[in-house]
Amino acid sequence: MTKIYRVLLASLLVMCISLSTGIIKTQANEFNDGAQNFIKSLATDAQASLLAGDLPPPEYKRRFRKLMLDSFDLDRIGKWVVGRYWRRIPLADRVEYQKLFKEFIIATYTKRFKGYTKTKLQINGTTSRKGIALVGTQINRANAKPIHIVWQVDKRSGRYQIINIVVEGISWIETQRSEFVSIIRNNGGKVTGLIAALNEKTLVLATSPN
Amino acid sequence: MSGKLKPFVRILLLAVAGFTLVNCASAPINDPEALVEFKKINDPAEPTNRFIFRVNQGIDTVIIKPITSLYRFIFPSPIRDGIRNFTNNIKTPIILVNDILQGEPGRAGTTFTRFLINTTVGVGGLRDQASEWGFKSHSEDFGQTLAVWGVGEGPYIVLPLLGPTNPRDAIGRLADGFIDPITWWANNNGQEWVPITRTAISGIATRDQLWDVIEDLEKSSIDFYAAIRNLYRQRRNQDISNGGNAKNNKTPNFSGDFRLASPEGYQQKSEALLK
Repeated sequence: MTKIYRVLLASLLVMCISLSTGIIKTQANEFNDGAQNFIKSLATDAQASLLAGDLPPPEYKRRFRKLMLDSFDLDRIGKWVVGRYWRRIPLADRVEYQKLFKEFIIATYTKRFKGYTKTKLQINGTTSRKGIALVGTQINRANAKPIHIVWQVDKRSGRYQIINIVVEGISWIETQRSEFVSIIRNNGGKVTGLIAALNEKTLVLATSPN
Repeated sequence: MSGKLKPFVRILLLAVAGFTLVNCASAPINDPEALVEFKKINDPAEPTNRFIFRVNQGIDTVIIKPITSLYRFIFPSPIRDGIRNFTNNIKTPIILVNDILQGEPGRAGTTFTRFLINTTVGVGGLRDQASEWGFKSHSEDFGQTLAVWGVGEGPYIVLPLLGPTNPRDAIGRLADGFIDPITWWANNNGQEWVPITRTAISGIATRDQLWDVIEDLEKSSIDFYAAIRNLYRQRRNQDISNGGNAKNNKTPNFSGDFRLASPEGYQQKSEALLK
């Protein structure tokens, strides 16, 4: 009698586990697919909207800005790149820092992006780790090795956003953090030095030609 | 390395070592979080390194960049590709030896096949025919071999002219010089100019290849030195893992957003701030 119960219980347990892992799996698949579709449509939308004819520079800038703010979680990235020093930024200055950080990133990539947009992004597949989707892509070039790009995507309140880009194994936010932390350290651990540097750089980028 | 260069190298190393010792930044032993950060940055000779970095930048501006600019002006892109292929091809024996030392028969086979194809069908290495036939190139050097054998990188250093490195990779560079058959041949036949010329040409070819990347980075960096230091490390780790990170990179730890890798106890504070 007890044997039968045990067998029943065991099989029930197995059923439960396989069911729940099944659910987890489909959830993960849904998340991965969602992230992949997000990157896919982002690439097409970006090309369609930014390479549409000969855009006047202000219009190009406006569209690029919107694209960056919509598709990147810049608030979260901005926090991450200052590392432990986030705690030391006075609450009142945090808003200013985040605003400045966004302006700096937009100013930097408005220029850099232009050269990269014309080639098609090939999607290779998506996995996820620690709740973050890794969308593997590559850009194929004539007479050169393809460039592998991994887009790290997260979903918060139903919305997919990029939190990092890894180009040939080089993590973008890690490089940013190394610079930001270095500036803070060389200013005696104060964030004011970083804010000044960001201000200056954004101004230079915004006023320089091209 | 030739006999003439040795005393020069020795003096240089001594000078660097001496300068480094007096200019070392001290570790912040009283603040555990700062200590973790200090160790992670792993650049105890930062003031010296920054100084040498600036000197190197000066050399780049005054000598290397103008030469490379002339090189780009004289030779159209296909010819520059050819030159780069050629200098890459004559480095293949070094890659092959390191493939073998790392116990990678498959990659060693690829390297050997590449050398055969490119030296013959690729007209002495000017064309990278092997890549088109599916034998893709990869980098290997003795610094990477040491890493595979378990040798740690040691602190970050910037060497005059040679740029960013660390003790492991610097020793690796020297060892690669000993492995290289062209250097062997040149030293035994009194033709030291051959490896020197090759180094100069491959240096310019590399500078040419990195032209846009450096331009971009210089423009957008707020701390160019720190950016290069970080990129050097990420690049090396990528090479050591044979590109294992390219398709599936580790995710940053977003659950503890505000720590570099701080010890227990600092965690709760930062996580409380997350929400």
